[in-house]
Amino acid sequence: MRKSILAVVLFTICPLLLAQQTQPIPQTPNSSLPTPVTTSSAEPVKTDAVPITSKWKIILLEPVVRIDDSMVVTRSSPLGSGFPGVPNRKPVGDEDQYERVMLDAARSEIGTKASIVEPDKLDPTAIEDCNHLNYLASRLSRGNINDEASKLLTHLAELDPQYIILAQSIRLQSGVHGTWNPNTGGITSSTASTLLQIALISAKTGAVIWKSEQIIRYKAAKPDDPAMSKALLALFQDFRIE
Amino acid sequence: MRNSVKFALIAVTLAICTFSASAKKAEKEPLDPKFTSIQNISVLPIMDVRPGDKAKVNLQGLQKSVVNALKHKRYSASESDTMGTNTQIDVEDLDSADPAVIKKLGQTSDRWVMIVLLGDVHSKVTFGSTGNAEVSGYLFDKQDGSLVWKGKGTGTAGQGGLMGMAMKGMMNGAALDSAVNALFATLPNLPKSK
Repeated sequence: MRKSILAVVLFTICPLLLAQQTQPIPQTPNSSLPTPVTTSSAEPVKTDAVPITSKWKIILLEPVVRIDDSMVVTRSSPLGSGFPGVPNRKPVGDEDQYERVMLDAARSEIGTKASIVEPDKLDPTAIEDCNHLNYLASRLSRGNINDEASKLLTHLAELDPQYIILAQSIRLQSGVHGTWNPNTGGITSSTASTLLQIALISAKTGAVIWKSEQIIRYKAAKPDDPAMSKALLALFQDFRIE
Repeated sequence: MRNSVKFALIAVTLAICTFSASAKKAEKEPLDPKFTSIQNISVLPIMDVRPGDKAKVNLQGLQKSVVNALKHKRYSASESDTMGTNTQIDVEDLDSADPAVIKKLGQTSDRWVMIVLLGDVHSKVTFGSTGNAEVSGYLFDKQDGSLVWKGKGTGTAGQGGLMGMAMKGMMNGAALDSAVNALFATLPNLPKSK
């Protein structure tokens, strides 16, 4: 008797509870949920192209690609060491490919905010200055401007005070793979890494206008690696020029 | 007969081993005079060149451990509190051993100066925790502005399991110690003083 009463009660309560849970959540006008965007064919279609208002002329220096793979690696652990790591011998990619990927990213991210001067459209004197600056691009990408670079920048500013240079560098470290020692429980992570550095320097003042860096840990990212694309996007995320 | 053959075989093996060991000893080259002539190495403050977010690291403690590592290799070493007159030093100046930069390093009275760069230190939690650190070092002779030695070392540390996860705080330090050991692996030991 008791069991049948219990069963009846359960059969009436459960559908009620289920009905309450499946009720739609009322939408408020200020809901943070994204609303679908509709475009009308009568209206002009908006594109990503933004009129360039900046007066600056950006010269892209050749990106510097550095591939490091030789180093001494030791490992320690509070309870025991991991097995020796196996060096990562996979070829990371062609230097030209990295250069191309970095230049493409710079063109697409900066191109909408400032005008980029292609090297072939430069004055022969400016080309010579840029060739010299290319040798210093690695340090310039870290925002380190030495006397030699200052002189070259001053000379470039004499040709056109609106010139700005963009120096980029990438350092790839193939390192060793991660390890695990089942006897001691010692583990280690891969020592591979990818470091992207970039700096925008005014020729007129010789000062760093903007700089950024991104590090991809545990991976020497290939040029077509999704992690590389993500890092390049993040590199230019806060790029601004007035 | 069999015993005598066995005996002869053992004798020949022993003779070969002794000969090869003595040959290896004879091949050992004498230490370069540029190392034996070092009187005191002045270890400059650690240059922090880490990219991205920087974990808290005791740079003075690292400088001390560099001095200790040099002493362990029988070099006389001391800590210096100044980088010298040149404040804008870049990795490339050190790699190319630019004499103009080298001569401005440290105090004027110092002859042998060592500069250590902290490249990276970080730790992460996985099923356990791991830490990686990277340091590079340069030893210069200021008299002629030359590079005596340079090295780079990466240290890794880690422990798996729940206990390892609880040890995350220790990993940066353990990886750094390990990196300093790796850094000096290629620096020759000075001979014992008689």
